[in-house]
Order: sequence, then C-alpha cells, then structure tokens
Amino acid sequence: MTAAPHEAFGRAADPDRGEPVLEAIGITKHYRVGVGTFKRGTVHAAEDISLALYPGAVTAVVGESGSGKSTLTRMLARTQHLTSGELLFEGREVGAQKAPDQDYRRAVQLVLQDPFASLNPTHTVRYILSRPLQIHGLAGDNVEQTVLALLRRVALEPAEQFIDKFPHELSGGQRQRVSIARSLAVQPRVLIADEPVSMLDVSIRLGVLNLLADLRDHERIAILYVTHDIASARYLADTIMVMYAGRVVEVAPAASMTSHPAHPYTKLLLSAAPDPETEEKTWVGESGAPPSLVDPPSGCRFHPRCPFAMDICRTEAPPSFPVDVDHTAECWLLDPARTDAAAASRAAAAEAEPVVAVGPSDDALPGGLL
Amino acid sequence: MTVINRAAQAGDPAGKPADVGALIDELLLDVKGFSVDYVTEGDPVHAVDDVDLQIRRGEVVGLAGESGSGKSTLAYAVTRLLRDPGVITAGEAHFYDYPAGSYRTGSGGGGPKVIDLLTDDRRVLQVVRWSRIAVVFQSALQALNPVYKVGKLIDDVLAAHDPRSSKKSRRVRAAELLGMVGISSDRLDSYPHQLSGGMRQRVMIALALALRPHLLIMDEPTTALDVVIQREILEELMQLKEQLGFSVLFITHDLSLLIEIADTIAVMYAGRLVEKAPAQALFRAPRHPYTYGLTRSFPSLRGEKKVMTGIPGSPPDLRNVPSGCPFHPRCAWAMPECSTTEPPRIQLQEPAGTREALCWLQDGRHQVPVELGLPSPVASGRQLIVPPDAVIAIPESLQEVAEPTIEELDA
Repeated sequence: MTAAPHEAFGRAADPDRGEPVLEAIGITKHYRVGVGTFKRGTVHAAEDISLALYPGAVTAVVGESGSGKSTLTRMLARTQHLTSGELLFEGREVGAQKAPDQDYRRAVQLVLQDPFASLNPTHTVRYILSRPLQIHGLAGDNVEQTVLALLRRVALEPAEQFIDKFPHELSGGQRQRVSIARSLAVQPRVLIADEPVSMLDVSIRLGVLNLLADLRDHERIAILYVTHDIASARYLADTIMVMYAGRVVEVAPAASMTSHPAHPYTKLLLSAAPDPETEEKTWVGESGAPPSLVDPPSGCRFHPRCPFAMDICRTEAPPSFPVDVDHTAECWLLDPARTDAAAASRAAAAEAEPVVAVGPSDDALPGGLL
Repeated sequence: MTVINRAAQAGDPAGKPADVGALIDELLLDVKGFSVDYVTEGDPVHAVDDVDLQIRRGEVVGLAGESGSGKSTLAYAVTRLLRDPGVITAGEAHFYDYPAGSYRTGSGGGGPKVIDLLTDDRRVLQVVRWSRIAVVFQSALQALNPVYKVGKLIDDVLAAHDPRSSKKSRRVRAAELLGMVGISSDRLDSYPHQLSGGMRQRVMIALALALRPHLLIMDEPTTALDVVIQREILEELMQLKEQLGFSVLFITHDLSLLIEIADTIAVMYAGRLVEKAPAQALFRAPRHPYTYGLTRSFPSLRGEKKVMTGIPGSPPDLRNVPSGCPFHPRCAWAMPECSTTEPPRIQLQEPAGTREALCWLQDGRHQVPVELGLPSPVASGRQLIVPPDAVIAIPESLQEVAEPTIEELDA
C-alpha cells in the first residue's frame, strides 16, 4: 500500500485505525439519459469521491435525495460500473471497471433500504439465510445451526421460532434484521447500509442502529451508513461525509461535523433538521433547491444557494481545504490564500446578521468557517 | 374519567391549572369516545378505540404514532373520508362553525353553530369538507390528478364550491393562492409531474387553503420530502397559520418535528390515545411509558452522545392486540393488572396545564416512577423563529370574505 491514496483522501494514515479495508479514489459515475425527445444528456450523479472504510469504524454519508449517496453505495458494491476512478480492497486495486469476482461480492455486502421489497416473499427465513451460504460454499455440515446462529447474532430470538417464518409474518424491524443477517452470512469485511432504518417505525430504529454499532465494535466490520438523518449519523458514525449534488462537500469526525460545521451547505442541513434539544432555532429561509445534475452549476455546485458566494465560486470548483484534524471541506471561504476574500465576505455577513446565521454553531458565520 | 389534581400537590397557591390561553373556550373540533373498526372476514379490527380529541381555534395539534396506530384512520373518520371496510362504531364528532368573517380568533360576531359531523346529510358534509375542514394528503403526486394542469385543479375546487364565480376571477384567485405558497403564477399551466416534490406539496397546501378552511388536517405532509424543503414548507405553513388563523391537525410519526411546531401533542398507540399534553410538557415530562420511550428514540444533534435503546419489541398487530394495556409487553413498568385490565383515562391537573394519560401508573394509587413524574415545564408551544423580514402576502380574497353558509347552499 502506497501513501498516495491517503493523500488523495486528504489525510495521513492513522496508525490506530489500521489499514483501510475498502478505499475509493476519485470514483465518478455518469449516467447517459434522454433529455427531451431527441437529445441525450449526462447525469453527473457522483463526481470524484474518495473515501476509506476502516475495520471497526462507521462512516456515515449524509445528503438529500439526488445527492448521489445511493449511487455511491452501488459503486462501492460494484453493482454498477464506475465511469472513472479506482477501488482498493485491502490495498489492492480491484479493477473497478470489470464485474466483481466472487471474493469481492462476499467481502462487500449491501443492506438495502426497504426490507419489504428486499426479501423474497415466497421464501422462508431459513431459505433466505441459507442461500448465501450455499452460493459461497460456506454451508458446511449443519446449515440449520449456522442459520440459527445468524438469527441470534441479529437478536431475533428465540431463533427456532423465526427460522420457518415468511417475511410477511415479520415486522419491519425484524425484516431488516433478517436482511442484515443475510449480509452477515458470508462473513463480510464491509457492510454498506443504504438508509437501513428510514422505513422502520421510530421506536425500533435505534435497535437496528445499535445492532450495527455492535457489529462494528465486536466483529470489526467496516460500515458505510447512508442516511438523510444527520442526527442518526452523529449517533452511530465515527466519521460523517456530507454530499451535495454528487460531490462530497465536507468530511469530519461525527462530533465536530455537528458542533462545528464548516461548509455552508452542512450548516443549512443542520439548521433544517428537527431537534427539540436545540433551543435557539436559526433558519435562513428559502434558498432554492438542489441543482439539476444533467447540467450542474459551474464552479461550486452549491453557489446558487450559498449566501457567501464569491466570484470564484461561480467559475472554479473548490478543492478540499483542511479545517481541523481529519476535517476537510470543499469551500473557497476556507482557502488560506483567500483570507482577503473571506474577510470581505465576513464584513458583508456582519451587515446582514440575522439572515446569515445559518447553523446551530455558536460562532457567527463566516467567522465560524475559519 | 379519573381526575387527579396535581396542581395542589405541586404547591401551586391557587390550586388550579394554568390557563392554556384565551382560546380555551373557542372549541373548533370536539371528538368524543370515537371508535373505528375495519370489518373484514373474521373479527373486526379495532383501528381506533374510544378516542377523545379537541382542537381549539388557532391551535396546532400534533397527532403522533407509529404505522398502524390509527392516527390517519381517526382523521379520515372524523372528516367522513373513511372508505370501506372502515366503519365508525361509536362516539361523536362535532365541528363548531363560527360565523363568516369571524374565523380569526377574537374577532367576535356571535356564537358558533354546532355541526354534527356524523350526520347522514350529504349537503352538510359538502359544505364542511374543504370549506371548513381541508385535508393535505401525504403523497402529493398521487393526490394531484396527473392529467390536469395545476390551474385546472385549483379552478375545479373554486368552481365546485362557488358555481356563480366567473372563470376569470377564479384564475386570478388560483394565481394568488400559488403566490401565497411561494410558487410563481406561470406554474398554473404546469402538470403535477413537472413540479418538484416540494412544489407539489405546496400546491396541495394552496389547494387546501383555497376555500379558507378553519381546520387544516395534514397527514404526514412532509415525510417524503428532504429535510431542507420540509423546513421551508413548515415555516411557510406556520406563517400562513398566524396570518389566516386556521387550526392545524398535524399527523406524523416524527415526534421531534411535532415538538417544534405543535401546541398540543396527542400520542396514539394501537388505536388508543395514550397521552395528550402541551408539546414541551410531553417532551420534557412524559407521563406514559410509551411516550417516554418515544422521546428517547431519536438521537439529538446536541449534547453528549449517549447510548439510547428505543423501545424493545415491535408495535402490535391490530388483529392480535395484547390484552389489558396494549403496550404492556413492551413496558418496563408493567404490573399484573396491566396485562388483564385496560387502563383508565386519567386526567392530570398540573400547574403547566391539564393533560391526559392512559396508564395505571398515573391513577393515584400507584407509585409513579421518577421518569414518569418529572415536573412539566410551563412554557410550551412553538419554538420556530420566523425570519424577521419574511412576510407572506395574503391575497385579499383570502382575508375577510363572507363564506357561504349551510342555509345559503341549501337554497
């Protein structure tokens, strides 16, 4: 493993975390679509995304619909080919343009959002959980015991009662647990969970999140947790990545992402999230909608909605600037070479005080940006 | 109903509950002992079981509950939108119709007329629906007819309730209504599929407000939307509510949202209304174990990260509801009588206001666990801060126009 991929991710290798299991370097996905009757267009669904998943760590991807977070999961699970970029599994390039081999499919497992759709209704839990064992040659002598052990691992007990049930006999939370057990059957190194709790009732969501935390802590599985709920990301994840319009705009340890967000979009997202514990509400008011990904805005994709947009934001896409330890954001306001511009913007912000207090951060913007 | 006065115990000198406000007498909707069954092959399913709910003028009432708790069924039954195999089996529902021009709170003008919503008279229902009680449904894409343009959808509503109006004036009204929810009037000629999810939901709100309803029922109006758009729409809705003075019944599974926007929150579980209290009191000092569990089911963005457990088990299958209190299999404080006898509805008179809980623990004969006996904060209600410079222009047509009464429509 060379140092280069880490530099691409904008951080030094952390000796405590060990080597990443799965690493993505500048992965990009474009979809060709029809625009109008005759024209063809390109949806820039995910652009130049780099990330590293470490054993025993949860990385959360937070974003609105259309931000590219589901595209990212499909690329990492390699159910869709990359347009460009490369994936490293345990330090080795996997040749991401090709279809994945069986080892990769076994090591990287996907848990889908809707447990009502992702389990075949005509099969019992026993069949659903024994199929991956058979396909990957892990069935061994006693499939039943393995399946029962899987059910116990996801806290579906007494397991003997669950093994012969059909999906429709289970509640949403139980179904999602079966879905997680199916992924665990092949002893994966990486679990990619795409909105695993958003379809579940509120009172049982934490149970599933705690199960994922358990798998991280006790089985050292690397988990990518995709969600639109930044509060649950803070609860479960070690690192949070915020995506906007196909780009990762900010990466930070979970606690600093919510307490000291640096990117204006992260601040907008935090100010919009319902949170009864936050006494002081600040809300910028309307700021428009996410852009079309067929023809994304030039420069920074957030500039049409950004209260601090400068000239450069309209022309050049910002690179990733360091904010703090392990904390980076793609925003020109953080450019050390542009302190003049930032100061000017700060002065402008001070004039329009009530409108610009975007996030729940205690610091005034953009002072808090720096 | 058992009434327990905790105000005196809490050392309140007057010994009487604090007034919820001047609106307390201005009842708008009064639902009593309401039950709804779904009659299928085999035993009927009790979707709503003996529910009492009051909504006052200008009040935002939140109805929280998980899927299958009966929250939507209750709302649709009360507005008589319930379809087969749903049957109202017990209870009454009355709507207080205030005289035209006085639907803003405190503007006087005589007493209200009481309308029995469970009447068989279709003409009465025709007047009540949309012009008194309007509903915003969850799925805007399915609720808006895909083959009509937005302008036509609004025009239909206006024409149906006021056939004498001219087409031109209705067009002007439609443009005004769209403007009110922040959509430019050139969208009148758009089809629903040409609008974004947030705009469709705004069109739904504009449609619902078209006939100046006194009560807006919103069934998970923002659940399908992204969090930023959800916040925008809620802020707009609250501003409209302040200016137009309608009441809102907001149905959602997202308790954290309700705590921010509602004055009063009612929590449903397995068809029962298990707790009702002012929003902050319900969040800070729940009285029912289920509410207690719910308030600890969503992680916060602030404060120390702590391990939370949610509520063990799953919501019950309504075809097979546990005996006694339906929550007892998931309840940490369950007692022997909880599994045998349904708990009574206990009214608690506390310094922060009157509240209700459906739980044996609160009946005055049992030791209330510390977690369920916290002092409730007196301050309650919305915390949303409307940007100081944000003003929604309310079209004149929506302000003080006389509305057709039932007698006029009869004629």
